[in-house]
Amino acid sequence: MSVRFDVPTALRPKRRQWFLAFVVLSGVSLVLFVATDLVAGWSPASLAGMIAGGVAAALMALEVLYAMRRRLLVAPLKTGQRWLQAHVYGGTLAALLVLIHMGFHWPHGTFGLVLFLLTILTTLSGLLGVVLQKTVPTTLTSSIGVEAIYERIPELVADLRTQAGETIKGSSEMLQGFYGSHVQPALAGPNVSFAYLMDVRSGRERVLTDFGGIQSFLSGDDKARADQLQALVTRKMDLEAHYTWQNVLRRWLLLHVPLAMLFIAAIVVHIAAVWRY
Amino acid sequence: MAPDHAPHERSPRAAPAPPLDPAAALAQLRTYPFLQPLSEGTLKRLQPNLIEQRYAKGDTILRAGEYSDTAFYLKDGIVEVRMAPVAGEGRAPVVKGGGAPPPAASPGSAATIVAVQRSGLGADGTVILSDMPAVQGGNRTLLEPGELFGEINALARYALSSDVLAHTDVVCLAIRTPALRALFKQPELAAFKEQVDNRYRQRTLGAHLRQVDLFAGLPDQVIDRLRQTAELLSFEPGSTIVAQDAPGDAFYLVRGGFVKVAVRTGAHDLSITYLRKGDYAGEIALLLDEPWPFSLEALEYVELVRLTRDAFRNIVQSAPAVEQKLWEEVVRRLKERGRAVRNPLASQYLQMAMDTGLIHGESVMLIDMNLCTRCDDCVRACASTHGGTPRFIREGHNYRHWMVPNACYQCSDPACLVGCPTGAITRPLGTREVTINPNVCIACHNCSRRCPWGNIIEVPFESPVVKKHVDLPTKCDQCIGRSDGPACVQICPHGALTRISFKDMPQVVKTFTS
Repeated sequence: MSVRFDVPTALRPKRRQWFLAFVVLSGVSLVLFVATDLVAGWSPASLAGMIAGGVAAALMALEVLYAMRRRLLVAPLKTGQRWLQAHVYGGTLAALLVLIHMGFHWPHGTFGLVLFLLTILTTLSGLLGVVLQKTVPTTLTSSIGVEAIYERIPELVADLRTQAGETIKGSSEMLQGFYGSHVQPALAGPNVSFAYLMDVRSGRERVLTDFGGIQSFLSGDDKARADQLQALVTRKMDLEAHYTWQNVLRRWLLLHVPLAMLFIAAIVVHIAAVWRY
Repeated sequence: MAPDHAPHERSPRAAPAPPLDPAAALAQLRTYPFLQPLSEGTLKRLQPNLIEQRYAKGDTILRAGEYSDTAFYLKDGIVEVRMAPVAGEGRAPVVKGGGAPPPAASPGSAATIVAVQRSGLGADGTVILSDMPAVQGGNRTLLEPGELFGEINALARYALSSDVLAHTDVVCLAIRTPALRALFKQPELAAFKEQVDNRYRQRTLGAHLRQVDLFAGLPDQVIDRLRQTAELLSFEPGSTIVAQDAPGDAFYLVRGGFVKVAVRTGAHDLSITYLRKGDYAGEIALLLDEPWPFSLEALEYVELVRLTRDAFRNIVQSAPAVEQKLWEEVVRRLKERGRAVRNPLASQYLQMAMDTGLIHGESVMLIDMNLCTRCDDCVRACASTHGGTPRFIREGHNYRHWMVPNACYQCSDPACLVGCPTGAITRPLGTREVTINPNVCIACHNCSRRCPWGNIIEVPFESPVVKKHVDLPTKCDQCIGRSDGPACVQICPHGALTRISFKDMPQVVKTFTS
């Protein structure tokens, strides 16, 4: 009996050949490290250690090219997907080579520690981005009923407010009161809300309960108005959930890019120091 | 926005005669003998689409390569038909849409034409037919009063295969497609319809049959017999052409429009495939001598050639190779039918393509929203390639986790090419990319109004033609000329974006189910 193991989407490689190449290169690097360590002992300053560090530095330099490629959109320089794959696997391999360069020892001195922490944080923030880019699109598509361009979401929410204002015209005092106390606040924003990160459909139940509560006190026309308002509020929540998740997809770079820049700068200083001293 | 093309010249077209008051216009229409049997009410209803036009000697009436929604009834004067040169004869290629007429096709230079294109394959592999009379001993012919021309192009949306010029001063009645269809349905005009059909049989049917793979090798005498017996039929959108289980008594050849092939399963019809120009149906029922195993339904206005059972048998008997091909087709279609019944999900995608009009698309952009991180690199790449203005919007309708954004589908029969007054919108023969030349466009928005999908967007532009700031229609041209294909597809870091032809339904189903 064969047992089928489904790899979670976030861990599933998009391009198997890239993943295999990464595994093979990582394996070869580790085997060489262990062999060298056993035969001659490992030191970052040894030839093998310098090679590992040098290759890691070269890979990190190549990583920077991906950011440049994204600004050279017109140039026919292979596909964007290929560049991203090279960025992800190259960066991870570079981090491994840094660890090998250090001989898997805790770093000496403050600068060594900074360099080590930057290696780990940059790599982890990059891998966090990979996980987000693999999981968030599916969440947005499968759990939210609307699709919207991030920059247009405030405008779309403003449209909903206008529609709600039109809907409420000529309604009863009771519905107007409900509109002021519940609908208007619900249509404010859009705001980035942590609640949507926990549950993309967060807040629906409360809205439905609020509208359900007022419905029994309304007459025919106002009931229809309340239904329309409920639809507008629900749509706004969809848009806000989109806004929040798309915000995460964008803001994640604010974590990764500065760390990467500091890391590159630290590598330059490290190489210069090794060269000089 | 940077201009994409060099400007080119185009000979002027005659303006329509000044508008008449309704009573005078009706009286004018009454001077056409073929319209005289029509009632006052019918003529009034059709009048907006019946316009008398005058052309001075040398004016261009129709241009080779263009799509047209107008047939012309020649009332007075002589019209000259010039066949377009065959592409690859050492001169500029024929241009669908008329943006850059080859030098030999311009007035006064016909003597240099060395070869003519009377029919051939379009960009999508469908047939391009001439609706003009056979050329006697050369590449031009003359039409006299009483002739109708351009009707096939108008009805079946074929690109024109000829230039039509006013040989003398000319008066003709421009009949737009809705009026042409209505005229053909009038019982009082049965004789006129018969006359037009006969003309089609004489001029075009032979070439049409020869363009269908199946009939390409038939002997001339068989083709001649088919021409005599073929019946020409038109169907309105939604009408049933053949019901399932109807007796198999005819073979149908599609000369225009799209036909849905479906099989009844329970309370619903299950779509199996669709037919387009050049496709055929009916061979299963005729060869197996059984009722129709599926139904045919017109998805839009459909023009068909109907061959009787006897005519079909005649073909099969006279050409064993044809019979062999037909049997192969029978097997293929029955397998397709079986697959559809076994896997109704695939049929659902086909139905969606028919419902949404995507079946017209030769290169439809699809975005897998399960992969798309909404980074908009595709839109930025598009803008970078087109002088800062993107040619599509990452918005559109969604089907499952796929988005069909508002980007040109590069239709098989582009409605946007019909009626461009300056020939700014073109599709070079042998390509699928429809492009708009901003240096010729006068921003009349004819193309954007005609695009059924709203995929032609307007951007501010300082027009060198009208010398003012205009909202210029622009559209996706698939980055024509770019070595690595469309920039949007190439740049997507997640491989979420793809282009697909809806002619290739197995690929479509594979994509949607991936």
